[in-house]
Amino acid sequence: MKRTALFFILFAVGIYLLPLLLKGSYWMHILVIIGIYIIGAIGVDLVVGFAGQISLCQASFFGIGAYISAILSNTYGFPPVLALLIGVVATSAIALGLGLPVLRLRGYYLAIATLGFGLIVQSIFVTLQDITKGPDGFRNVVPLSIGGYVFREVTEYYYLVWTISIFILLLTRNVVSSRVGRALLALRGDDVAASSVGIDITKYKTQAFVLSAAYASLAGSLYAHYNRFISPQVADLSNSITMIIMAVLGGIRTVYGVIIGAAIMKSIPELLESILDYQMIITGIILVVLLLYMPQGLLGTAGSIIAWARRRRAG
Amino acid sequence: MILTVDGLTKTFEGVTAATDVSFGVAQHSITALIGPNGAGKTTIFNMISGLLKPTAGTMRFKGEPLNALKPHERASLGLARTFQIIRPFAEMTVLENVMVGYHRLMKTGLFSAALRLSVTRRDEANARRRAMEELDFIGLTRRAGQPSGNLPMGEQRMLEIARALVSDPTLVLFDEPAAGLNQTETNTLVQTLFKVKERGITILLVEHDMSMVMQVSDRIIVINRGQKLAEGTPDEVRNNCLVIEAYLGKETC
Repeated sequence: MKRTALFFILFAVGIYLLPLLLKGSYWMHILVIIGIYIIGAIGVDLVVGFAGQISLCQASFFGIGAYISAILSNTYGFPPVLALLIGVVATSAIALGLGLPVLRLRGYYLAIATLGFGLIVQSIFVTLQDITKGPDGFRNVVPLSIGGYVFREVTEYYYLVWTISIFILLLTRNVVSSRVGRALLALRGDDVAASSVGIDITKYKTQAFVLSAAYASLAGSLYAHYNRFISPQVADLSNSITMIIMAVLGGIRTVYGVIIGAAIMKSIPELLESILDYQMIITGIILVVLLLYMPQGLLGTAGSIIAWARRRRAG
Repeated sequence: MILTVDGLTKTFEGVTAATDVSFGVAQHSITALIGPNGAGKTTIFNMISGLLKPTAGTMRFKGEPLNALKPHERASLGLARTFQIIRPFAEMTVLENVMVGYHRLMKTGLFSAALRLSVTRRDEANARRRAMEELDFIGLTRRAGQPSGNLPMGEQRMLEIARALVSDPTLVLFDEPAAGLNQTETNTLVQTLFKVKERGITILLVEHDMSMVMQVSDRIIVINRGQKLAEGTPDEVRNNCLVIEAYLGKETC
């Protein structure tokens, strides 16, 4: 536990020093995107990893956050931070309305409900052209500003986004190592046994789902203001699946694993840019190989190796 | 009577598993529900803990009607249970498993957990302390940090009992606690049941191991074909000709 904290502090220091090395580089942009996706992927780790519920609409919540931010700040002149917060609250309410009826049931109904929801959301972004600007996407989204300070440089977004994602990582770490996290792990393991110790399984599943949607919405808003362009593509099923892969690849239920997962998923395409034609194939092969040989993900496998080494030393 | 069951009936698509069963469980007692295989004992248990909805009949716990309450709400009243098929949370350590049992006595919510407010820190400290006390009570202290999936059967059963006891329940339902245990483990279990009773906790158990039931029970209720056949002290039940008939199939009455 203490060692994890030390690693995390070193990691955070590294993150804050990194711009000194990479200043002006295209990698700064990639790192901002990685920071944003970490926030969305932590939500997946909560719902899929801890609560054991399959959710396939994380990108839809990401998209709702992004579009609410863009529409409120551009069309209606809201301050971007207020637009972002309204987005988070509205997305949480939508997630509650979607999750509550389905999460009462046992089984994988959430997967089906979220799949359908994802299709509806994306088609709304495409169809409501007057509001969302349709399939071509929303251009020139207002940049983020706090008070009178406007964020323009990549470096500024880098510090903002990574501060938020480190904060979210810590919050989530606290949640999963508390009564709430134990309740989620218990209901995932055995919902009958969990309810017999007094755990309200519907309540905890719903809380995890709503919190995860709030994270996705926050990530989507940051993305919209940073990238300044969004299209219905952000809410695509493939983007939801990308976030699931980030959580699984890094190590499901490790929380910090999503850092590795997001970093890999967002840098592979950049590293393979010169062989664009084979990019998808190579990405696919890397994923299959990693998951075949490391089903616990990278951080999960590292944890197992450390535990094994410790047992060897002890015994 | 801490628990009263009145006219409890359960029908599964035409098949009756329990018919008009009524009994009471006295405070600080050990009461056993026995009967041949398929008699309906576990069905009655599951109705009391809320996993099954009765077709008819009422249940009261500490005077409060239970019928409309969900399983977790019944647990929150101090009605704990263990399972015949052991159900530890395999991915958690032994200590964490017991800490889960402390759930109902904690106040931490999503918000206080995320910010690790003082209420959360206090909850965690209390849960850990109480869980360690229960591990000590059942003799599993040395296993605290181990993954619960690795424990031998007898210790997993003890772990489940600790998980049920950690929240200071009023009544614990034990569903065949001796199932799958060897003689040594059963002896430990019997001692544990007596120690639980000494703590002032009421016990209702379903059990097949007849010598164990006769040894620990204050009162025995015999169920046969979904109906109550007899009720009394171990001696009364042992000598009841209806019970002998049900178990041995001889006509003696």
